[in-house]
Amino acid sequence: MKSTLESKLHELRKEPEIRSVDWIGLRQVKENSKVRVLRDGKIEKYHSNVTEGIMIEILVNGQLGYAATPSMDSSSLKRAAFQALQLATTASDYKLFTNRRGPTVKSSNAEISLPHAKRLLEFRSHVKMPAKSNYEKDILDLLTEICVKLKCSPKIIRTSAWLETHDISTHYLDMNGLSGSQFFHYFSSDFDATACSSESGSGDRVVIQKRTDGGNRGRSFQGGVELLLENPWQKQLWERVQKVGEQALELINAPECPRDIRSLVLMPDQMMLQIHESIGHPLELDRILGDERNYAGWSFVKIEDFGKLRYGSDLLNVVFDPTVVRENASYGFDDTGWMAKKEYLIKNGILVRSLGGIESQARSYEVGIHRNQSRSRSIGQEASEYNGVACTRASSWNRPPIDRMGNINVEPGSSSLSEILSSVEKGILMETNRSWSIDDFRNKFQFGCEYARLIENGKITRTVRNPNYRGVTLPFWMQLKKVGNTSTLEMYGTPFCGKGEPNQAIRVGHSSPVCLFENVEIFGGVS
Amino acid sequence: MKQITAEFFKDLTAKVFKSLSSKEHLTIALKAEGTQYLRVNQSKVRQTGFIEDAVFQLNFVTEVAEASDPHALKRVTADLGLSGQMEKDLDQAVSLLQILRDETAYVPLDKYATLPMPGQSSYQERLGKLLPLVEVPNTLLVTLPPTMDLVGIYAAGKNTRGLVNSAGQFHWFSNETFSFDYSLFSRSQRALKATYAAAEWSTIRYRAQLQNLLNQFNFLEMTPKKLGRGKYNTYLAPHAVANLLQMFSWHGIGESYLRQGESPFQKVRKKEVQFSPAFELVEDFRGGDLPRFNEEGELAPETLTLISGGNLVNTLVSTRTAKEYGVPSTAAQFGERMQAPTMREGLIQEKDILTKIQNGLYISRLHYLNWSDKLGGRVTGMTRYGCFWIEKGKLVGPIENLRFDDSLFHIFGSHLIGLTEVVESVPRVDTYGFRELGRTKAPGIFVKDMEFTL
Repeated sequence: MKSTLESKLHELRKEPEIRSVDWIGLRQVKENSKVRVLRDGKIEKYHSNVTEGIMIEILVNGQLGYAATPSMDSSSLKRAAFQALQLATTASDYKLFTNRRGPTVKSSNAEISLPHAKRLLEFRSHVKMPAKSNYEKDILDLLTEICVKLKCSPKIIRTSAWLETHDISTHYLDMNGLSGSQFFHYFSSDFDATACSSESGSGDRVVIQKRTDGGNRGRSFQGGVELLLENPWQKQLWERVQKVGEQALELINAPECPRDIRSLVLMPDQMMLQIHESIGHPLELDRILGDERNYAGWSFVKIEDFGKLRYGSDLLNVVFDPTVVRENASYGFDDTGWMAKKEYLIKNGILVRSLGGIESQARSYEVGIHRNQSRSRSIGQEASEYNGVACTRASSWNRPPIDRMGNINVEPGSSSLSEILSSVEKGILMETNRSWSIDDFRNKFQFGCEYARLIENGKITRTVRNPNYRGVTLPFWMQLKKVGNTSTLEMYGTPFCGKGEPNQAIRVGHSSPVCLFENVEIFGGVS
Repeated sequence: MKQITAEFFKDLTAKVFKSLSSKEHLTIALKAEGTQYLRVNQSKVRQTGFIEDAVFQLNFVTEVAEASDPHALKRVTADLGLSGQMEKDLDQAVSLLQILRDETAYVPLDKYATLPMPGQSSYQERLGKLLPLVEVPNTLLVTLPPTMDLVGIYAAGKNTRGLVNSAGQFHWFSNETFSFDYSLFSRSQRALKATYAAAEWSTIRYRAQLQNLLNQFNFLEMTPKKLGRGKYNTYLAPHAVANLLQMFSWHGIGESYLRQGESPFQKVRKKEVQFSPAFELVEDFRGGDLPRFNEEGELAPETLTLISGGNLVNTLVSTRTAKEYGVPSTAAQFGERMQAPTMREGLIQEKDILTKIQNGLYISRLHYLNWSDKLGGRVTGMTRYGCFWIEKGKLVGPIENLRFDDSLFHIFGSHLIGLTEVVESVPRVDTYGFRELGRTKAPGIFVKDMEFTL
């Protein structure tokens, strides 16, 4: 596909108007996906998706314009290129900032160099068994068996099992010869059991509770169907199936979560949403610069906070890490051609770096945030002095890239799970997210989980249902009192991080250990 | 890419259907758009672009008669991106069809699949009067004062939906519309929001709307009121009501969700709770601004009363759900979400809103809603944009945004104490994948003792 892209760009640049633009880049994406859903052991959905398209970006007079098309023929691409050029030209009188692309991006205050040779590294997901038709019967049989095993009691009224696989190839090429290809294999699975406490019409008060495997699509990774069909994953799968069925039954007999203030221990499949909403999104630099204010909102974080703001307790260390094998948002380079590497976002509780790509960084320099920085930098050499990472991504060929979370992970600490639990006098352990809400400055949040158990005098006691908690971002992270060690670390992800106008949903990853927070307001439900 | 026309769609699908055997049945739906986007921040252009996209959605059903079930069916589906070139698209569609045939060999029987049926066809094509692409930045931004901080998204173009099946049914819906969804920010970081959406652009209307917002800015700059948690008499403006009504589509009003223990409205069906008799909710397609056909080609009724007299009168039933539970279909989409929810108005005039509130909250919009206890009908979210404290019927000042957590059975039930006579149409402006069609029509409502928590 790469040589095809080269010939497409070459063809476009034969046009004098296109040849004279400041910069042009092409990003081609091809996707093959499959979704398999069974409910109560019966097929509900067996669906494939085949899509391909090209995004053309053109820079002229400091304004970037884009046009995307699924048509690969020469005349369609030319039409798209001229559209992008026309839109950029007419918008340039009203440009928000002077955009620049190329080996060196200059702003009025600094010069930023992209760390690349002519060719970006190729990235490939780690995969052993790519999704192919010869595995499909085994997959469907397995999903059927999951439903059967989940129905461990007549009180289980509904079961479902689901697997989604995506094979995506992306190819990037710009007029300076910067080029690279990435080949992703994504895997996302889920299953759930719904339990009901009594027969319909019996006159008893009915309690219905649902238990899932890691929340809504929480088990999203890079990899192939070995994650379902082979050990050790399959062995772990059956353990989880048993747990989900049994815990659904526990919940219908459990009391409501109490309403009070106590210590809160969060398992990694809830930490995922806590990190996502109250660390990931607030640190997106384009959001801090105001781009999202009409949609998802702003951020309480200001540009001048980087390097200074105490975000949480000393135990809080958060990284942007695109290098983790199998994590959902691992990649080699972002959609502006910047090589991706691991960086700290929060170190020992201090905010040190934003989720801002090359464009947002240049914008923030124009705003003058890095007044104390010297004027010339190369990102590859002095990356730590830049408050940004290679995080500018688009969901597919049909959306322009913007700052996105990637893999945002809390680093493990030193406490074992038993140490954490035994340190709690009055507390609650919550697992698996089912509800999330936060205000438009990323301050006031509320989360709901599926399953919780009380902790009394250092011991796990009763199961409670409908556990919820609420808080405010910075005080909450300041209340982080213990961080689990690597034995408590789990990795999750989601394919559904939504942002941007036009809207786009992108894949992100979150790994975290178990964490203990003090003095958190908790409450239950009404059902 | 050439625009996908009805003739292209008919022609391409007819060629695909020629390859079907007598036991094979196919429904092909089309989604297509050509959309200009202009993203604005600080009253300047942030991003500008054009997206064209088209997708076939194939629903392939095969009769696989067995001794135990002479009507046994298998069903597989696929989405295929189109290029707009007949030869290439036909080639890809036929190749994909063969893959679907191969898949049929191993997928299990689908008890609830249905065969495509002949039936009423439909055709609607409406042109709009959109701004020329190159005039958009100037028209939207040229007259903005330098101190104005406007953030928003302009989307405009043709939106197409089509459906044809091997039983001969044909549906086509195409319209040209625009929307400019934007917020105006004050220096104190408070904002007001508006949406200008229609089929014909009028610069005069746009500027009038902008001016109307600016005229309200002085309210934002009044001394803010900090409120603690508690229960407050609350007026929810039509946009806020529309925000709440969207929760009815989230595992709510669909029949499959009630049957499978996922919906809070089973409590209403079982008469454990009731809505207010003043709360009437209808799925209302009159106006012709969105297609009525579902993925199986069934045509939804022009109006369908969902809630009336405090009771659940109808649910949304897809073709598949109808077969599974042996109930009549309402031609709902597969996900059984409302497309055109319309809430009946009340009697309170706009000029009397503040008097009616007396002492309480005026809430323009809500943000980031989610279930806090789905089966209990409880919803949480934040206030956002133009929310004020009212004292003795007078606007005192803006509030710091509050979180609410309350039950739909209170808000639209026991605590609903009035509705305005004015109903506003709130268009859908989301753009995940394709530009969404549809809108919600709602009055403002008065709720006593609405619960706010943080």
